[in-house]
Amino acid sequence: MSFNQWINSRLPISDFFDQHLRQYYAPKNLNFWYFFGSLAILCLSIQIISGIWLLMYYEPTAKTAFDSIEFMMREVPYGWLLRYVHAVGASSFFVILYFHLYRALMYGSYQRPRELLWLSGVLLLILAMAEAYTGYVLPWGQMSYWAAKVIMNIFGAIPFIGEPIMHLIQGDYVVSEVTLQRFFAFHVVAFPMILLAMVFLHLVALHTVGSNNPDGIEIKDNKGADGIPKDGVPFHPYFTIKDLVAAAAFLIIFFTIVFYNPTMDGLFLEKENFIPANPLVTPPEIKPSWYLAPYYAILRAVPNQLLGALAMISG
Amino acid sequence: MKGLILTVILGGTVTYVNAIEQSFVKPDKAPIDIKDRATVLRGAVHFKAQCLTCHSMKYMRFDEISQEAGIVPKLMPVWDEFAWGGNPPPDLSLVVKRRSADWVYTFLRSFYLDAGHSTGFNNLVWHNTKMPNPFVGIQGQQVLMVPLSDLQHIRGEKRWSELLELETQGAMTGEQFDDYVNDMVNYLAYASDPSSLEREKIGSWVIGYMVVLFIVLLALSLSYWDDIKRKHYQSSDK
Ligand code: HEC
Repeated sequence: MSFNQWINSRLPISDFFDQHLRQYYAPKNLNFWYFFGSLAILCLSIQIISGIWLLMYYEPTAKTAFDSIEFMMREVPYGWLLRYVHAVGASSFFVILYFHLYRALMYGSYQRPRELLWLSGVLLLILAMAEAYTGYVLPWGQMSYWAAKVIMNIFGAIPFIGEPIMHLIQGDYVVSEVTLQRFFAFHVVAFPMILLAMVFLHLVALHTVGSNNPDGIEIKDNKGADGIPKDGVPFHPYFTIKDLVAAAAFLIIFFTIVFYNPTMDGLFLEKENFIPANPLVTPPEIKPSWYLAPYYAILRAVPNQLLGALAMISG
Repeated sequence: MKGLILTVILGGTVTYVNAIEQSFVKPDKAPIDIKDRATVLRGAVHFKAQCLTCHSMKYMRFDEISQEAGIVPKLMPVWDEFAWGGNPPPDLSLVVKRRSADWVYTFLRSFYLDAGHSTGFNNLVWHNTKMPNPFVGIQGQQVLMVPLSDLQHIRGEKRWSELLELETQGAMTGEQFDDYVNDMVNYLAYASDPSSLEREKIGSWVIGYMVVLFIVLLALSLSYWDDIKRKHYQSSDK
């Protein structure tokens, strides 16, 4: 018995690989818009790997959070690289997710039979926002603090149960060090675990119903005598190689930003966040990160807090 | 209206609102070049001599340039939050990142005589700043050529040099002084992100590698997809 057989009769790795890559058929007419799913997985991996390193130096207390990041930026070898990769990575993740979402809307990928694929995607977007928001608070700069406060007040606006919920999440009557430590736990453990589980379900759903395509034809409806969809191509090697090309193109842009303009002139890392949090001084303008800005604009357009929050959620 | 909405959102929890300092003038472009080690080092030396008494640089602890200039932790002042009537001189390690080099460059050169302000000098970029004018000796005294009350109306239209006039000459000529301040801003820009030197050096290698990888992968991908395209046309010919 060969080594391969020994392994595979106990843990069917090759079967799994065959089933989900070599004999998984994707429509051969997938175009540019279909790169963003695998790029999203790449972004998520970048975030997890760089995040693990940041975690080794970050200290989640109100006194030390800001300093520990500056320490990392200056005195830890390549600490700046990991921090900028993580920050630029967060923004890129949303660029990619919004393209991915746009594709789904454009080609109607939310229709039968892909309803649950779409639904799990929407949940993933919401989770990604929660993950980004809690992460944004961790450097404990001015914008971190005040953005945390504004969002917490949205929860507080829910009638009757709002305040208890707000206090539960904050862990305190105001946004404080206790909040920072809760957000740290959410950002580093709770949300990533849920996120990964959701990604898994999203992929299971995808591999059950198969990819949609620009022409909207179901490739499974037209199979050859061998049971293989006539308009399908095995995912591996044809789409693995195509996705790798896309990944390299993406990384060229990604690293150009990381190395040459990592704050994107204040878009990816806001200027105001280079001042440590100060509960007594409100920044001149409280802006959320760009990827949350549309939702925040809806909130601000409605003068009533509760109605605004409702409009934002429904939007 | 915007302020009102903001207050509503914040639920009236704000106890103290910062008066927003808004510059009266258009900023000058700071000709900074942090790759030029000589000017950065000169700036650090000037900084040690003139600014370190009030301003700390707390994140510059071990870098070679600050060490060489004598900017070391034990010389850095520590203020409590009530010092200076609640406006202690802030740490400047990140000032260029939060304000911009142009802002600092313009701010430092636009002090003018104002007997009505507590420090005796006011500033076009930061009106009523608590920072005393550190440059009376070397720059000289500047005076405002328009009435103070006009500043509101011409906000943002002019540069500081169009509004101020040198009344008494300091120890330096105008050009020398510009260089002096520019050196300082160069040091502050370097201090705000010391990684930028290393970053741009490694950057070209990483990106170059990605470009090569991209080309190789693209060639590989096209050759794989050739089969598919050929089969596709064969089957549609039939
Ligand atoms: C006598 C003490 C003193 C000296 C010396 C001094 N400053 Fe200041 N500086 C201050 C104070 C006080 C403030 C805060 C002003 C305020 O809050 O209104 C300030 C603010 C600043 C700011 C704005 C910081 C920010 O975050 O907005 C900059 C930039 C600055 N100083 C640069 C310098 C430089 C460069 C020197 C050396 C030439 C210098 N200062 C020398 C007291 C000083």
